[in-house]
Amino acid sequence: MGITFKIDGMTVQAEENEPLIDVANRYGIKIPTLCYHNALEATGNCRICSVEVKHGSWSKLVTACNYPVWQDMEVSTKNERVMFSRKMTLKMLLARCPQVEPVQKLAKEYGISATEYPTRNFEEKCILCYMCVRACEELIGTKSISAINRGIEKTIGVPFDEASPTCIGCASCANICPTGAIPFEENDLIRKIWNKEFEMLRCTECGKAHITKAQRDYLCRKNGVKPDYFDKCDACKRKDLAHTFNSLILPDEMEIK
Amino acid sequence: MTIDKKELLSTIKKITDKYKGIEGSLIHILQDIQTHYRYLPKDALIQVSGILHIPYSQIYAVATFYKMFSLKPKGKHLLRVCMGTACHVRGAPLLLDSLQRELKVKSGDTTEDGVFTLETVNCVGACSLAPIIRVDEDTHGRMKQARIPKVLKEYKK
Amino acid sequence: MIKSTKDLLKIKKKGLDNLYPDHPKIAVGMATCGLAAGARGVYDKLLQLAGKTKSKIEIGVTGCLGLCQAEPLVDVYIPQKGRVVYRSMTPKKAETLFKGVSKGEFPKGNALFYFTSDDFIQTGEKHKYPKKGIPTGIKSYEKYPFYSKQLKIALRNCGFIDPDSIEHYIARDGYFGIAKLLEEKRDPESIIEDVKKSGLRGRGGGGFPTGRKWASCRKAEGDHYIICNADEGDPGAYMDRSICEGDPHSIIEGMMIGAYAIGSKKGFIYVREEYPLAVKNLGIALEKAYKEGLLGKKIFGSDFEFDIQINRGAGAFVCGESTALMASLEGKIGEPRAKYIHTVEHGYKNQPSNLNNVETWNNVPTIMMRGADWFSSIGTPKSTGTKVFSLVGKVENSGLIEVPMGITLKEIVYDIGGGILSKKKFKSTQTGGPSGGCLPQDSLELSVDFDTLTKAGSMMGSGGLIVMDENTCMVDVARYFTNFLAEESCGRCIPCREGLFHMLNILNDICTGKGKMQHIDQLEELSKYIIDSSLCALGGSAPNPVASTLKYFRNEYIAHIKDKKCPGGVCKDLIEYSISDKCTGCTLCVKSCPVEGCITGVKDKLHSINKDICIKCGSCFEVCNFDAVVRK
Repeated sequence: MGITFKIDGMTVQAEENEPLIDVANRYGIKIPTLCYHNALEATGNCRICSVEVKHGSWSKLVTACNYPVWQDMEVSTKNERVMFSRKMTLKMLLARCPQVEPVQKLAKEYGISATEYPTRNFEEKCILCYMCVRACEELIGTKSISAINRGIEKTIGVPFDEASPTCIGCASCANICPTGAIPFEENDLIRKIWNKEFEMLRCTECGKAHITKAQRDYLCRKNGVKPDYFDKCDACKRKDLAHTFNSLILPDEMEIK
Repeated sequence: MTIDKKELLSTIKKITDKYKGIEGSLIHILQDIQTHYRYLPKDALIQVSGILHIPYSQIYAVATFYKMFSLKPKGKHLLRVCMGTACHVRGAPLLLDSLQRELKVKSGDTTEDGVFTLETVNCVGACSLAPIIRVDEDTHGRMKQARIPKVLKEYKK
Repeated sequence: MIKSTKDLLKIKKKGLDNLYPDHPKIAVGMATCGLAAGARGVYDKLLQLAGKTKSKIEIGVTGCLGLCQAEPLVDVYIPQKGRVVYRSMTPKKAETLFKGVSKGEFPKGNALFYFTSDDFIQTGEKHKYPKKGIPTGIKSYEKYPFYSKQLKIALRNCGFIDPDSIEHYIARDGYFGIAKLLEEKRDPESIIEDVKKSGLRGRGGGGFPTGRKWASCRKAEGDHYIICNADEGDPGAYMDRSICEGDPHSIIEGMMIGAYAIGSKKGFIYVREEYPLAVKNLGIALEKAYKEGLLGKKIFGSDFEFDIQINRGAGAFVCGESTALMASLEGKIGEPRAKYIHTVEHGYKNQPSNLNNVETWNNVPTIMMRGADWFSSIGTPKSTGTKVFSLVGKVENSGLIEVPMGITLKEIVYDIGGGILSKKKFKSTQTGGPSGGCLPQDSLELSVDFDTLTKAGSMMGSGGLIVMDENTCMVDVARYFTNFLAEESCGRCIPCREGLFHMLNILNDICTGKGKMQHIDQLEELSKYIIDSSLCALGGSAPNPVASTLKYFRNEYIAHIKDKKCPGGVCKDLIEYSISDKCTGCTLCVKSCPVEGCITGVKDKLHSINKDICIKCGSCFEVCNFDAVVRK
């Protein structure tokens, strides 16, 4: 159902229950995020996208990434209440991971370059946004990593910090991580991640090591394709597709003018 | 502590069979395993993952999230000091200190002879008899530091 | 099998004959409090004596009567004479008691009070007792100060029945409520209207109107689930434990009525694992209910079918939060999620789920039996009915109480509680558990209901009511709660995980003499942030203990920071132990002291403590019978 409401005084249109951040993005209203990714289910962990929602005398801070919009609500994305919350979240993050660049950058945007709150571990890079866990669960499907312990001891990892029987070494977790908190090494044809070593395969076209054997086997099982589908890397596959497209004989009406 | 593989497989099967058809039984299964072995052995978690088709990472997350579960073997007797509010105002922290001194362990650890594991627990609900300590299933109310040696003696034999 | 009200009536008669037999009956209070005080020894001794005697004296078991600190409590019924309750029983005292009862007499020793009648709250009837041979000098239950201002609805059966006996529950009109609704084929929506009219609000702390919740859940599409939250995590609160242990069938009946009204076929009772007796008694009750055909299919001959399953918690306070509880039910870690989409529409397995607290469910059968108008006439217009509280801490009469809403804190602490233990000075009442706050002396005039205490900066919460005296340090209390919450935080969101960590560090610094005035500003800044920005209600209310103590006991914070002193005499680094001239030289302290040579003195003469090696363990303070050890 189509609805209207206000963001920072401006009237906007949306579908009822659409996530607030989608509407804001559509109208070019910038709301900072750290744990939000449009390919993953929003979880509202970092709270940095908190905005104020008001209706009459009722108001509340909500996370834009997963808040369902409704008729006539009034949103403030940068009033005093919102700014206080955002700055505190950044202070907390800066105290937790003082050496993480994206955190330093965002904090600087809000005028914060240091914090009086103590740091527990100066080497800490993980902001517990859960993007890695969600990617492994929702996009890849092996569900090899999880959130371990609770409270301030919470950490992301594989069971017992040992080579996981289900991890396929795809490094999606490391690639989606906004702070580079998941280390992995690639030497020759061996990729090492989460304390496990994976044999990599070379692209038959360009020779680049592009996929682990474990990932190839997993995807073949999962999607029912033959192993030779992964002989070439993505870049070379795209080149092949471009050639194929070029050589197509198009009917007259489809000719690109 | 090494566990015989065959014994483990049959124990896990018995436990998972017991909860067949019961929704959300993972926590119950882990609790039964913990009662049997006094902790959660790694191989047990792997077995459960295979039988219930629950990701191994999820089971490990559950095992580390809930206070009741332990990945390390516990002692013969579980000695828990209640740290509820009523117990706190009636002297539980000093009681805990006294036990740590008496048993020569810190809270969370097991005595060298493997007899006692000392832990804290958040409210057993016997607040009018604070401070409380629980040894296994026994609840001892109106505890005083002076009573500690006598209570420990009961379980040492 | 019980398939009709007629069947229930047959069992009621049997149950009443068992509750009021023609031979003496001695029931021992065997709830967790009783057991913690040594009830098992008393019970075993009585059983042993009964086995040897020729005269018939039945030994039974009962739940918690509420006066927990007088446990072990023993309840004696002698036909044609009356019913007397005895306090602080021991196996030895039980022998004397048994001897007296064998002769048909109520012994005087340890007699606490007698009953003039038993209230059958489901119907308003009373079973009157004769008053023959009652020991002199004891009051009646109705006039006994601890009980005189109480009104037991939720605790109606606790201490009056054997919790394992379904006959006892039915004898006191249990299951007649659901039977009537099903036999009359009552329209489920009209049941919901009744619950709305009664004004019943969630007893777990949230205070959400129960009828409204049921209505929203019923309206939602999907498979409906009924959940009973028995994860009573507030330290210092044990209302739900007592109901689960002492009257488990009341929860089952309440859930059945809810399931019928909402259109659910499956229910869960989520009990914390720290309550093994509650789990056991609920399990026995479920087994018996199934055996009698009260659960399963074709209940009371109707099309209504309902199954209940018990799930145990595993040690996580956050699982008392409804979305975390539902995650735990699904076998996941107890991380809450945003409640922008309500659980009554998408809860357990993303289906409509109605979650209510133990005490809420327990009130439902009584509302059905006595009517919504009767229930709403008790309490206040916006907070109808009664509330069970655990009155604990530094109060003379510590235990479980149930009072009409609207009673004042003063009445609870002084009239019911008997005032401060050992005649010390009152300092504060703490309510609402870790989500609540500490209120000072002048808040004693406030009435206890859902809204008044919230306005003052605390909240009624689930019912924990901790009384604190002059020897309590309010900064230490704030630190205690913050430490608790930091340990119980699921760790998912930044405000709660990082914020509480910093708050705890600051409070630890203040309590160990490393506090600075800027710490107070930081605590206030962090409080404001955590309350406003947390993902769930654990974080959202976590700063309340700090916020309320800063508001009402700011001077204590300043004393810790500026003077490096602890006015309550608690914070180890800021106090010293010494011996005053009240000392008689009995040497008990020397014997208890774990540090060799710390306490010195000649027998019968004033002793002294060596402050340099004193580890401040407090054992001398504990053992001294002359109040001679000073702690400040």
